[in-house]
Amino acid sequence: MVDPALPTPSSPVVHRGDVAGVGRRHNPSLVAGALLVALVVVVALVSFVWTPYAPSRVDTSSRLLGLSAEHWLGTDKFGRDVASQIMVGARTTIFVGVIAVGVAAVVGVPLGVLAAMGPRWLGQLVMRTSDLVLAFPALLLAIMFGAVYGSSTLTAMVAIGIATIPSFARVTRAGALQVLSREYVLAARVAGRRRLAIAVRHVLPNVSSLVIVQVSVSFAIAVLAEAALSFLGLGTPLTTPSWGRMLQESQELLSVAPRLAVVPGVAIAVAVLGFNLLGDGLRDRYDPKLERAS
Amino acid sequence: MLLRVLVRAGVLAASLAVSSVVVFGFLAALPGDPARVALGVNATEESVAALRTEFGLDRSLGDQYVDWVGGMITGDPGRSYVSKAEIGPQLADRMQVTLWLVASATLIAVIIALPAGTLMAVRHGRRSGLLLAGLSQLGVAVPAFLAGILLITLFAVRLRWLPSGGWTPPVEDPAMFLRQLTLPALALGVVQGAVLSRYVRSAVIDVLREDYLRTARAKGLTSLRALWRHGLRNAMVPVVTVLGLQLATLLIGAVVVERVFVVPGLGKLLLDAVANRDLLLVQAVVMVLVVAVLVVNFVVDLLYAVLDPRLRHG
Amino acid sequence: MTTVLTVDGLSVHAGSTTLVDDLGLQIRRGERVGLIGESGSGKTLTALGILGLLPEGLAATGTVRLAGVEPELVGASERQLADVRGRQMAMVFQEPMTALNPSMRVGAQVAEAITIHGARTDREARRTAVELLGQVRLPDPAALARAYPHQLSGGQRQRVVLAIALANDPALLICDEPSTALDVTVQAQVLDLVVSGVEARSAALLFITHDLAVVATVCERVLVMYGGRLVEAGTVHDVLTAPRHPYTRGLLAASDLERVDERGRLMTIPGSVPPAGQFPAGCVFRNRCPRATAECETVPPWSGRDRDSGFACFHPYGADEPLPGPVAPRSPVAAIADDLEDTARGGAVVSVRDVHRTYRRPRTSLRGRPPVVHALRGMDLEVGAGERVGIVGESGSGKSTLLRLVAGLEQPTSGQISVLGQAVSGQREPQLRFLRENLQLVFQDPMSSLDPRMRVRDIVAEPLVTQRHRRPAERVREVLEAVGLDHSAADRYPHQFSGGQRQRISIARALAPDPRILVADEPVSALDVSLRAQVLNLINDLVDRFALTLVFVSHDLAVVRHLCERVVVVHEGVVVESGPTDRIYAAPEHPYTRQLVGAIPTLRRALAGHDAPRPEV
Repeated sequence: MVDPALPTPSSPVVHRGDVAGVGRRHNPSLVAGALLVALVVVVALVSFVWTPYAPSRVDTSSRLLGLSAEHWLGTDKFGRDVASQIMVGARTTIFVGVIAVGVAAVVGVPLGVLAAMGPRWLGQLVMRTSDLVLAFPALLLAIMFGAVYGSSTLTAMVAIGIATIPSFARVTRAGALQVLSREYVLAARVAGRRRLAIAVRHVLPNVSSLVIVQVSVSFAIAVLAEAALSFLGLGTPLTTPSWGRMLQESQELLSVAPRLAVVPGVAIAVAVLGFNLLGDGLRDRYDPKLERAS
Repeated sequence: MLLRVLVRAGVLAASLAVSSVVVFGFLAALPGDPARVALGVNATEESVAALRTEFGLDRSLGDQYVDWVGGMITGDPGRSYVSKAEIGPQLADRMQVTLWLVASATLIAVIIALPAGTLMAVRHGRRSGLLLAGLSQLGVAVPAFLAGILLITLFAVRLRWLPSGGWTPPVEDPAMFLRQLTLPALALGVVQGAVLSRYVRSAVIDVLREDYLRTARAKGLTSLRALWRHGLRNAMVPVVTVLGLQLATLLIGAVVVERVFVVPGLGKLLLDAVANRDLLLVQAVVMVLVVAVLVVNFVVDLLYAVLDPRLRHG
Repeated sequence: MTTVLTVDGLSVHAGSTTLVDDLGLQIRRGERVGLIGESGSGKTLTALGILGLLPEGLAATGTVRLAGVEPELVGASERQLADVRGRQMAMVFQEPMTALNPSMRVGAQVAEAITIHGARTDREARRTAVELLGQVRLPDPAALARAYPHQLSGGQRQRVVLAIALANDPALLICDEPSTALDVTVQAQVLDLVVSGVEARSAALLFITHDLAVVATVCERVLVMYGGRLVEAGTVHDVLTAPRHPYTRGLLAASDLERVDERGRLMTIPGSVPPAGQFPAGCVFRNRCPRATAECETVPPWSGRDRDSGFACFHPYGADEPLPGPVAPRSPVAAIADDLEDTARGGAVVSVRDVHRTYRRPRTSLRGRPPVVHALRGMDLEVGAGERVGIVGESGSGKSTLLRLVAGLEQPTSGQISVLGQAVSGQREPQLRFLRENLQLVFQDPMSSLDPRMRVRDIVAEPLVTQRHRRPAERVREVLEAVGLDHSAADRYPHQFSGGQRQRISIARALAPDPRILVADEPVSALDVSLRAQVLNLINDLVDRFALTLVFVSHDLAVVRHLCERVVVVHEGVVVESGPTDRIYAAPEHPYTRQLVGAIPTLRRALAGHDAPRPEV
C-alpha cells in the first residue's frame, strides 16, 4: 500500500535556455488512466439502474458456479451473482473515495495555503502536526475509530479522510511557497492587493494543477485503504457489497474457486491502476515547462 | 549539527507526548464503562465495581493517563481487563514476529527497488524502461493482502511448495520458519518494492538532470560511472526519506498480511483486541506502532545530515 | 600552427526540428576563438555537440575532429568520448552554483579529474589538486580543498570548475558563458584566469558568449551564429568594427548603448528571435533583415575560402560602410543638481534617510547568536520630481532591498522612507494606498512576473482593481497601445508571448494606474541584446511622454548611463558615490566605483587595445 503522505514521485524537466522544448509528447498514461477510471465510474453508475441480478439474492441451488452466460463471473458460496456484487462494490469504492478525498482536500488545501502564507510559526505547526498525523495511517485510525464507535462506512471514510489531509497540506504548501516566490505575487502586492485576494486570485489557481494530481493519486490510495478495511471487516457493513470483503470471503475457498479471489482482486487493481495512471498523466500534462514559450 | 539533533529530539519528545494523549484520550472517549463492557451484560454491580477498583478505573482520567504513560515507558503496560493477562509479555512476543516480517519485507523491497528504479531511470523512454515502469505501476495497484492471497493460491494451493500460513519461531525449526516467512514477506515486500522503485526512479531521473553530472561527464566519466560515483549518493537522500515514511505503511500492511497468513504478530494481536473490546490492549499496541514510526522517522532525519553536507553546516 | 579542432557540417536535431545547421569552424593551437549568439542561436548546443554531451532527444550529425584523436567524435562511442573529455578537451559551463557535486569535497572533485585519466596516484592527484586551486587564485588552497561547494561563493565555484577543466592540460578548452552569472568585478577575474590558463598551456579556446565586449576582450577571432547557422566569421577587429552581415551589424549597433539615432534612441533589430524550429527557410535572418529580397529564400553560400572568415549573405554591407547612428555621449537635458541637498530643497518625491535593514537568519549552531544579514546600513537617497536616477550595485549591495522598502513591500529596521511627502516606513498597508496609486514596479524576470493563469487584460488591470478604476477595459487598451502591443493581446495568456513582449506587458501593468514614479528592477537584464535596446527605448519614450520619475536599478552601468542622468552607486548596504552619470563613468572617485567601472568590459576599450590591459584584480 502506498502511504498517502508520501510526495508523489515526479519527473520534473529542466528547461535550459538554448535547448528547445521538444514538443508535445504523447500521453498514454493520461488516456489509459482516464479510460480505466471511466470504466469503474460507469460501472458504478450503471449499478444504480441495472445489475444482472440483485447482488444479495441468495440462490443455494446455484452455488459456486463458474463463468457462464447466465452468471458472467460465476456465483459465490451463497449462490450470489459475482458480477452484480462487483458492480455494486464499485459504488462503495467510488463513494468512499469521493468523500474521503473530498474531505481531505477541503481541509488540507486551505491548511497548506495558510501554512505558506501565514506567520512562520503557523507554518511550522501545520507541518509538524501533519507529520504526526502521518504516524497514524488510515488503517490505524479506522481501527481506533472502530474500537470506539464500531466500524461502518462512515468511520472508514472519516479515517481515510483524516489520514489523507497531510498529503494535501504538504503539496499545497510546497506549491504555494513556490508561487509566493514569483515576481507576479510581488507585482500584485505593489498593485495593492491584500493577502486574501492574492491567495484566491494567484496562489490557488496556480497550485490547482498540483492539487488535481494529488486528488487522483489520493483516490488510488483511498481505494486501497477501503479495500483493506473491508477485508478486515472494519469497513462497510455486511449488507453492503464491497470488493475488499469479497476478497476476504474468498480466502477459505481458494482451493475450490480461486476465481472468487481473482475477480475482486482485478477490480481493485484496475481502479487503483486507473487513478495512478491518471495522476501520472495529469502531472506530465501540467509540467510547467510546457507553459512557457520556448 | 548538534543543534539539529537537539531540535529534532525535542520534536520527537513532543510528538510522543501528543500521540500518547491522543491515543489515550481517544479510547477514553468510549461511551460506556470499560469494566462493564469487559465483564459482559450479565455482570453484577459488585463484580463491576470490584473490577473497576482492581484496575484503577475509578480514578480520574488524568491519574489513569499518568499511570498508563508511566507504565508504557517503564515497559509494564499493565494487565488487560478482559484476559487478565499481562500485556507486556504479549507485546514483546508478538513484536518479534512482526519485526521479522517487516524487516524481511523491507529487505526484499530494497533489493527489488534499487536496481529496478535505477534501470527505469537510466532507460526511461526506451522499451525496457517502459516495461519496468508498467510492471511497477501494476505492483503499486495490487494491495499487499491481494498479493498474499494470490501467492497462496499459486504456491500453497496449486503448487504446494510453501505453507499457506502459520508461524514457527526460528529457534525451534529454522527451515519451517523460513518456509512460513517466505510468502508473507514476499507479499509485503514485492508490493513495497514496486512503490519504492518509483521513488528511486524519480530520484535518479532528477539526479541525472543535475548540472554536476554533466560536469562529471565533461571530466571524462561515462554516464554510468558518473551516475555511480556522483549521482547515487545524492539520490539516496529522497529515497531514505521515503523508506522512513513508508515504515508506517509497512507496519499497517503487516497488520493485514498477518490476518491473511494467520501469523501471530502485533497486527493479529491488535485486531483480536478490537474484536474482544480489550481496550487497554488496543491502546498499548497502537502506541507501540506509533512510537516505532516516530522513532524511525527521527533516525531517518538524522541520517540526512550524514548524507547531505549542506545540512550539517546549515 | 597546428589545428586542434576541426568541425565540419555539424548539425543538431531534435526529431524533425533542426537546431544547429551545417556549422563549420577550426581552431589552431593557442588561438582564442569566440562564438557569439543570442538565445536561440544554437551556440550552447554547438558546444555540447562537440563534446558529445547533448541532452536526451537531441542528435548530432557531421564531423568533429580533435587533433591526435581517432576516431572523429560525432558518433564515437561513449567510452571513446569519455576518454577524450577532461583530457584533450575540457569544458566550463555557465552555472557555477550547480556545477559541483554538493556532497563531495571540492579538492576531491578536482583530484578526480586527474585520477580518471589514470595519470597519477591518489595522493599525487590530491597534491596537484591543491596546486591547481592555487593557480586559479583561490585563497588558502589547502584548506579550501577540504570545503564543500556550498561553502564557496559563485565566483569561487567557477574557479574550481576552471581548475577541473585545466587539470590535465587539455589542448582545447570550451567555455560557455562562464562569467555571465557572476558579478562584474568577479567576472573580470574569472575571464582573466581563463585567458592566463589557456596561455600557460598553449591551449586553444572556444569561448561562447552573447556579450560582444567580453568576446572582444578575450578572443582574437570571432564567429557569429543566428538561428543555428554561422552567419559571419573573421577577426575580432574586422567583425566588430566593420561587420558585413546585416545581423552582425544590427547586433553590434544594438549592443552599443552609446550609439543612438537622431531622436536619441538606441539602434534595434526589428522583430524578435523566433522560437526554435520557426526560423524562416533559406536565409535564417531574412524575416528581420532590412535588405531581404526574394533571393534570400535560398540559403546564402559562404563567401570565404574557409570558415575562418566570411559571411553568408546575398546583400552584405561593404567593408567600409559605417555603422548607423552617431555616437553621442549621453547629455541629458534636465538641469542636474550636483549634491543631494539641492534636490531635497526642490521637493523630493522619494526620500530615504539613514535606513537600515537587517535580517535574522535561523540559528545554525547551538552557541553564539543567530547570524544576521545587514542588507542596508544607513542608506540615504533623494529623488527629485522628473529625475531619472540609476542605482547601480552588484549582488548583495542592497539595491533590491532598497526597492522593496521604497515600494512598501517591507519595513526598514530603522530610518525613514517617504514618497511624495508621505511616510512609507512604519505604515501599514491600509495607509499605503497613495503609494500604490503613485509608484509602480517593473520586474526583472519576464517569465515569472506575469501570472501564467491570468489573461493579459486581467494582469494589466490588476492595479486598477484595487483602486476601483471606473473604466478599466479602456485603460488597459490605452496602455497596451502605449507599449506597442496590439489590443488583441489582451485576450491571450503570457506563455503565448516572447520574453520581450512579456516585459512590455509588465510595463503596461505598471503604467495602468497612471503612477508618477516608475521603479524598474533590472528590467532588461534577462533579455537578449536586441530586445534590450527595444525595451530601453520604450522605457525612455514612456518616461518622457508621461513625465514620470524613473528609478532604475541595475548592475549594468552602461545601461544606467544611457537612461539616467544621475547615478547612485551602492555597495554593501550604503551609497558610496553619487552624481551625474557622465562624471561617475568618466572620473569615478570612490575606490569601489573605480573598481566597478574598470571591471566592465567595453567594446571600445577592447577594440582599441585589442589586447586590452587586464583590469586590476
